[in-house]
Amino acid sequence: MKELVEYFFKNASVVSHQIDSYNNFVATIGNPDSVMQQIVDETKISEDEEPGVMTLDPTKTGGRDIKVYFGRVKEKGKFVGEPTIWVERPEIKEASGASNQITPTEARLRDLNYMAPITLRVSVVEDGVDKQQETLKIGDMPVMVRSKVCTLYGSNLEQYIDKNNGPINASRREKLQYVGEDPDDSGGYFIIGGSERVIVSLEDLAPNKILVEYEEKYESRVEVAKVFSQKAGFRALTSMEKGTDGIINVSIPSVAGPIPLVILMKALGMEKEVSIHDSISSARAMEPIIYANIEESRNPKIFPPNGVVNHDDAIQYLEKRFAAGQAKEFREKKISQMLDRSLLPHLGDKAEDRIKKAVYLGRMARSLLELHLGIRKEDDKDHLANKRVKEAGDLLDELFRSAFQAVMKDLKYQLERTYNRKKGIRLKPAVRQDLLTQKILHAMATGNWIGGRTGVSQLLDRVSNVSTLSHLRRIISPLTRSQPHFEARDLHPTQWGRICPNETPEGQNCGLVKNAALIINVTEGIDSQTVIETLKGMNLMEVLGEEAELGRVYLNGDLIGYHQDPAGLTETVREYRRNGKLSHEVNVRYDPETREVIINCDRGRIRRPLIVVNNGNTVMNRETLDALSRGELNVEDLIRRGALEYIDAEEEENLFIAVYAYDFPERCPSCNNYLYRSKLKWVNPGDSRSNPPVVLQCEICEGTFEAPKILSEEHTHLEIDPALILGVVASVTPYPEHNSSPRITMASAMTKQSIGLASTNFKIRTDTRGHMLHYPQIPLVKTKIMDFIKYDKRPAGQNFVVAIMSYQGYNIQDALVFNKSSVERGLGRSSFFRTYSAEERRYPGGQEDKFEIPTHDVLGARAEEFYRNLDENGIIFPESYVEGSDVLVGKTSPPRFLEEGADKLGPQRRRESSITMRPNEKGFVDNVILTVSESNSRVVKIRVRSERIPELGDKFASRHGQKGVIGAVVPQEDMPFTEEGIVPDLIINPHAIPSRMTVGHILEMIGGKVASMKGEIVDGTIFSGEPEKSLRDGLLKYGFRHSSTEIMYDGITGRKIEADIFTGVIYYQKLHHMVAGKFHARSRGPVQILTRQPTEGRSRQGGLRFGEMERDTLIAHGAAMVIKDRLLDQSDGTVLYVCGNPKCGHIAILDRKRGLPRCPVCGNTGNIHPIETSYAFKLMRDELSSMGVMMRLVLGDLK
Amino acid sequence: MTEQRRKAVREAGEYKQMSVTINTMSDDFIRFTVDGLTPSTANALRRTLMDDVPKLAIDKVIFHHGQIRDSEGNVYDSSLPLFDEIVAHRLSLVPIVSDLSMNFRDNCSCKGEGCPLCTMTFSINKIGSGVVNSGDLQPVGKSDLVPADKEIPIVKLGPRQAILVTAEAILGTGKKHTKWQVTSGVSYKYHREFLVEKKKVKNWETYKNHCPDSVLSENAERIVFSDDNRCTFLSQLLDNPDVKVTEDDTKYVFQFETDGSLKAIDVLDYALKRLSQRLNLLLDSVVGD
Repeated sequence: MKELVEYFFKNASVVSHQIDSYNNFVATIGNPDSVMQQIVDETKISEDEEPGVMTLDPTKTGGRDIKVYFGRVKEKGKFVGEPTIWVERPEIKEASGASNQITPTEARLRDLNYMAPITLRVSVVEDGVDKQQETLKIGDMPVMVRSKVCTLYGSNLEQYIDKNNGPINASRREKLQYVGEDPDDSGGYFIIGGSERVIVSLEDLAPNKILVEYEEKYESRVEVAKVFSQKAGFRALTSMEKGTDGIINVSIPSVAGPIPLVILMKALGMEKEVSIHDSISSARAMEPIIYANIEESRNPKIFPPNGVVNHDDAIQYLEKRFAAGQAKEFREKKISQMLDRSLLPHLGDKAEDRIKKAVYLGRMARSLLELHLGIRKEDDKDHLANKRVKEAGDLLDELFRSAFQAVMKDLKYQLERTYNRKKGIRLKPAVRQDLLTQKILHAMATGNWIGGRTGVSQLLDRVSNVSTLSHLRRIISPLTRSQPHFEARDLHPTQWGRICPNETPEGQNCGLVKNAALIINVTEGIDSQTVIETLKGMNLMEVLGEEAELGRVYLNGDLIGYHQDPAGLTETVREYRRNGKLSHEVNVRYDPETREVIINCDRGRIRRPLIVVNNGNTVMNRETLDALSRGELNVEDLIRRGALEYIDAEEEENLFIAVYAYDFPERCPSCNNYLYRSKLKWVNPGDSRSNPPVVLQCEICEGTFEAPKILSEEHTHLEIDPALILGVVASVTPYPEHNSSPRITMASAMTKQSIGLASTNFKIRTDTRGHMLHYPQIPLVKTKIMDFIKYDKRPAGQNFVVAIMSYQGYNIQDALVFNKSSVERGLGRSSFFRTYSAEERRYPGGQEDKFEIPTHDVLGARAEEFYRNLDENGIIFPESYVEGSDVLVGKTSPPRFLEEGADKLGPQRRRESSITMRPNEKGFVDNVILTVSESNSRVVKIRVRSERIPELGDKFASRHGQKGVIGAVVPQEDMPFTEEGIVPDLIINPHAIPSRMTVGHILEMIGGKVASMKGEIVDGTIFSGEPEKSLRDGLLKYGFRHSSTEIMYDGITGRKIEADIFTGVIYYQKLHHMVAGKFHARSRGPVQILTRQPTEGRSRQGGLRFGEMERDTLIAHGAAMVIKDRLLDQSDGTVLYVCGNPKCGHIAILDRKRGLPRCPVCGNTGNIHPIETSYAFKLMRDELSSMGVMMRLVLGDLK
Repeated sequence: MTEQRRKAVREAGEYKQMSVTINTMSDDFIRFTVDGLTPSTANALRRTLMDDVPKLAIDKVIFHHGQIRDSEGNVYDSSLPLFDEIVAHRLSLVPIVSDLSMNFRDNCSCKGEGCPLCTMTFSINKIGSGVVNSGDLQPVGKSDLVPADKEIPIVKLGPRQAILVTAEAILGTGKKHTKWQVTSGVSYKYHREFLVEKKKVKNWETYKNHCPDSVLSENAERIVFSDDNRCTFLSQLLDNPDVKVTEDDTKYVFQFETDGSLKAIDVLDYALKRLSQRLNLLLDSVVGD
């Protein structure tokens, strides 16, 4: 069903999950159900207040009862009404006071934050009297580019263009170009301080789900049940453990030590031991363990004086244990804190929720015992059904929740503080907008989220277009990188179609950093109450007690009831979902072993689309597909019709999914061409006749024929296309199914480093570093998926003519031999951009920086010729040639210390603080952008461009994990040539192939050869590309040999090469690791101020460290003078004048008056000797003396 | 060195009688067979054809930066969609009809400063929007030395963009940079014969039908093909174990194309002369006086 894939990408972009998540989160006037609004509704200013309202302290308001309502009212357990919070359009408040709507480009260029004001509507009630409503700006919210609040969003862009007198009648693409945007940019990121940042999705263990497993503890295996209870941003892990003695204990966060289960249940109000037993027991074999637990709690020896019998005993026991010796009031508070807040918070935080918690604990114990008895298997933590993904919206949720709480708490404090009896409260000036804005901004700018997580927001990777897309689709696991976590890193079967099996980094993050498969859907979550209502209509029975013949029904991990016919219920739920009576976000699974129905409708489940199969035929038929292609239907319509559905990992356990619907003959019966799935069309899917044959159409000759059907009655679903299991990056590789798997992983890593055309607005972009390939080409061997990610429009590579042979040893160990003429004709040429930026900063006291050519009286001013390329404003001319340390912007800064010494040292001089080129770079000034920052100071951004022609050491890679660096650039006449006069662009070594088993590489070479002769692009899509046989036939057709080898002649000797040489055309990528940005050497150069040792690193013209191991080699050789030379003479050697008085040994000084050295301690002037030592030693001496330790240097002669 | 001594040296070596046949020839393509060569001499000719035949190519491009005005006074921007170095690189690769009587710059009477004897100057002055083609290179001076192909796109100008450049073309050889390489697809092959036994190779007739001109001889039992005329269909015979393939490394079939800056026959003529000239140079330096 390859045509179906196209429709997925017709309307939605590849990163729509990011944008959808943000749209779901962000509050707008039209959307009362946004997550932001929910947060506002639920926010409590203090613990004992109602949510959504702020009550001012009457003692501070002259006894008046003032309430500020900011949330909506609750009706029937739901918040209803008009939204009270919304986000406007992104804007910037200029220093002049005016506010202007901004575009992403403006934000990028001016180093602004792309943020929009958040408006909150509050109503004040004073002494029960409604005062008028007020709208307040409470801060700014970062805006996701291309989300519905973004300036670039459909109608927003129209309005913006209209307002700014832009081209109203232009097409949408032209309009986007008008505002400086790449029309094919995906969006899905934020702009903070001018730099693009992504909120990377986070994968976490599912909250509020009981997971049972074995744990190794003290050399024995114990059963553990765990719940990550989560409510409104608060997360608490409750775990239950059965010891070897059979006693079950519960651990609660922020409570020291485990608590016996029975006591805890009694404390929660489940006083009757019968109910305790009933809430746990589900099998006879459990009884002894349950009885033992109950007996234990009654044992007066363990729990004196009388054992824990009833509720009061339990409470007393807890008080004694956790709040011993405190006042009654505090004891109660401590215990209620423990039971209501720390324990299972998702069930509620009030005293009346305690009984629910007792029942829940009983359920946990039941699962635990079931595991013990072997009724239940260990839960698989790595199963995707037990995982949830937090996307940008969820992570912003956490951030906004805490920031909003903070700003509202502050507002309350401000209102109480500034309360004036006459004027009453004044809301607007009391809001501290900065509090909210800065809190969010700080997290976004650094990636340090609340809860101590780091790296949540990252700088968007703009190396190539695919690397950008991949970054936006990344899913990271918060597991620590240092621990092994072998199971968590393994590819799990449930990741099929959800997470790319190949695209993951190698090394420490392997398997923890993942990437989404091509088409996924992450649930937004729907209200569970509506689902329960529907289920009640299906004869769901309330929680009564365990009955063997009834099946348990769970919703989002909660036991919500029992059902007579669990399997039937599962079918009904599915039917309802397909009919649209239930939301398509509901997924259901039936577990026949435990007779459990597991229904989920919560947030963050990764789902994948599957075609629904009914009685061995698809529900979708040809008419639907044709309507889709005519644009009359879209994918959502298919879901509404029950022809397609999103399946989560839980439900997939129940399904029987056909990978293919039909088989097909090797060659077309009518035109005799080789057939492959990309060239086949299923004419009659969903044929309503009984037992219809599969009719296929060959797209080459349009002839139809019948084919064997694979789809059977047992199948419940059909895969849309198995190619969808891969992610965006892995899909760029053609014929990956012929490669060894690690090579695809390596290819994916390298594709992300390949340079090409990353974006079309590169001329006005100001990334600090950027690359652009001069002649990017569309690959001759393509994959279908490339069309969806628009690889054709943003390619990153070139088709090289490649020969596989050795060449004088210049291509051993993966080195590459390049043809010099090809390089001179433009092969692999690229430009490198670096943006330098300078700002006229303002300092306290009215001083500011100034762009100008520094005059001679400026401190540290350079010679005149350094400023010769600057104009009168101190800014460099475009297209001027600049190199090593040339000045780009002449700038002077005010003197450092204004107050001191102004009169003593004469007039203070301004300092030179020009922006210069990096010492080892050169190029032409490409663009000079002059603008103003948010604080109205001038900012100049200068982009310098340099041409990067392939040279020795530059890195190239094919799309099959075959990388190499240039080992030689050989003149064309020295290269081997074919009888046709073809000279390869590149020679790779034959040893690169056999052990790595990159057969795809070979196939692509053949495919490229055929494609270049045929003038048509070859399809190399995974599982459905043109087969090898067809390619080989193509070779023969165009006069090549079946083996794709050719007779070649040595360009140096002129003799024929005895072996036939395998040649082909293959897509090679230039990777951004180039010698020009890496080579480094130093003979002399700068030293560090503190230690006087050579600086470190290329950017500081540093030395290359002569380390311990290098030192060892010289010791082994006995080359003492070389060691001294390296470690002293060429490093931090200094001469110290030391007092030779053996009782003194201090460092001498030069007495200026007398002109001779003198020891300042003992006054000795004659006996002073120069000592050669390292400056680091002198430093240590000084530091020790600062601590009061005197190091005396006792001198003596060498013996 | 005297002519006598030169003759003596020449006779010291063994020489086989050479024969040259030109198979096909057009202005920019030639295929010829040379009999009686060694691989090294054949290669010397091939390398000379690639490396040592001079032509004109643009070596210096001066861009006008700043505003450009047209005759009506409209102002255009000189910044191009492509970077200057890309435009310059593209211009350098444009083949220009060359006059080999011109001097190389480094041994010209102007002593490397550039003069009409060694330099051809071109200019482009075009306003957008539109595509700047190689044909827009206007020669200053000799009007016959123009781009060999006028349709090569150089850069696409947007509205309000204009290009004003001066370009200097000088003579050079492919040794220094490919832009001075006159020929492309320079190759030779050994003369090759395929002896096909009609009994063993059943489909011999398809080869005959595909490549009728490649049949060297035929009788009732066997047919002999040669792929010297590059009938590619015959390449399949190479992989057929029943076919006897014989190669002759003294008989060579050469072919090459030119980029239009010079005629193929002139290139060959120059190369042959140049080769002997260089060999004599070597001889002179080895033997001395």
